[in-house]
Amino acid sequence: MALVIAGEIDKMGILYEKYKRPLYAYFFRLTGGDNQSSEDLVHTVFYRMIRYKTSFTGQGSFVKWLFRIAHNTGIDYFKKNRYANNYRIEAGSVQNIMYENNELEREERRSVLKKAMSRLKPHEREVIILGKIDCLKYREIAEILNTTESNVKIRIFRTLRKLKDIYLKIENKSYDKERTQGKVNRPA
Amino acid sequence: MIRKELRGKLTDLLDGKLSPQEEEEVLAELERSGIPREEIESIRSVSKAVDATDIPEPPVRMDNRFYTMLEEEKKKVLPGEPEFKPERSFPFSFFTPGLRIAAGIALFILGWFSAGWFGMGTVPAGRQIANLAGEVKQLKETLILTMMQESSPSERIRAVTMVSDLDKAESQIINGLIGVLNKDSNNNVRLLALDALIRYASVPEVRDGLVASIGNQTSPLVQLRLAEIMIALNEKRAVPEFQKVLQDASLNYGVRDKLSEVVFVLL
Repeated sequence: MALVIAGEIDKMGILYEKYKRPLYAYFFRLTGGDNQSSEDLVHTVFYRMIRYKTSFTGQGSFVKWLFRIAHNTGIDYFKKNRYANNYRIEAGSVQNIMYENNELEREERRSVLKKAMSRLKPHEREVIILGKIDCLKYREIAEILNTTESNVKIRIFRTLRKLKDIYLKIENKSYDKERTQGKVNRPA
Repeated sequence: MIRKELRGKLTDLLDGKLSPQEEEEVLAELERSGIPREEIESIRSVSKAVDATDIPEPPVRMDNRFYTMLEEEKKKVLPGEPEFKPERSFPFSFFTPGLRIAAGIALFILGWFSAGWFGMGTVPAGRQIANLAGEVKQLKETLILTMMQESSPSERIRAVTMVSDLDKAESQIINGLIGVLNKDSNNNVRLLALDALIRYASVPEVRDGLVASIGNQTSPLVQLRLAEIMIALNEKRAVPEFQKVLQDASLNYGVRDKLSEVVFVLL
């Protein structure tokens, strides 16, 4: 990054190749699998990195600085898409479930998880997603979110607990719906 | 209310990173706070399900956008300093490589018709058309080879994708693709070159080039793709090349597994 600041802009290509996947994964999860928005958001992050390269002082870690920009880019995105909460959910996947078919069952669980994630607030989703990025330490997540490491850990725990409650509610609701329609015999 | 010193251990508990004694201590504390042990298991399952979310590979289109933006930004870095550009003839200096191709072909066709109009063509019409098609193809190949040398990865990507427009690739195009596969600084361009070469897998020099390129790859994506191709082609000459790669102690674990499997299958 020091070389980029010194004017060797093409070195940004090395940083791009190294971090494009974790950044894309971050936005992909944050937007609920929206490919186009994830691509746009990654592009915006690198554009901002080039524009505001001198704001990287070299005192903190580069990854923290990068995800701080990503975090702010995500906030801007959700401000613009406030009403939609922009979390994509494929329709109709809850119907016609055959519990004896493993692939369909897995697909059903993925769909329920996606719905459950969509019911979290964007900042709640984000704390879970940041916790899943291998190259980020909890201390760095705390700095990105302007809080303490201990607070990040308890927020992740509480949000996962909330996610679990929502997940079970959706699962039970869809099961009850299927049962009243006589479509499934659920295994034990 | 969870004690402050235990808060820091909650994520380690979910990730299974605590010692049995520490885990017992945290679980007991959580139970006292009204969170039973079974609930922790459910939270762990949900956390694992989030981990298992399928994330697709970023699209090549995203790379194109980034490298195009990077090229533009490079030009802005030193606005006072004249940027080095290779000397070009006047009309071409205004065009992008894509437009240069179109302009070149248009000029060639115009010239050919002008020659015919002024009675310079003395060969039969059928042969003239065949000659024209051949000349256009040659021109296109030359431009593809030129674009493969461009500094911008998006231009090189465009050059590689243009190869699929050719009915048949001549050996210079094949050599160009093999050169990109072995030397390009961008792994996405290498991957595209690899996919372009598969179309010509029946050509012996392509197979030779693919086998020889195994040792030149460091990107796990390119290595895995090459492994799949070698299995599909049942190319046994790849075995010693993969065995050499497997000797590298820093090799990615996923790639190591895959290459070991490929060696086993091909042997």
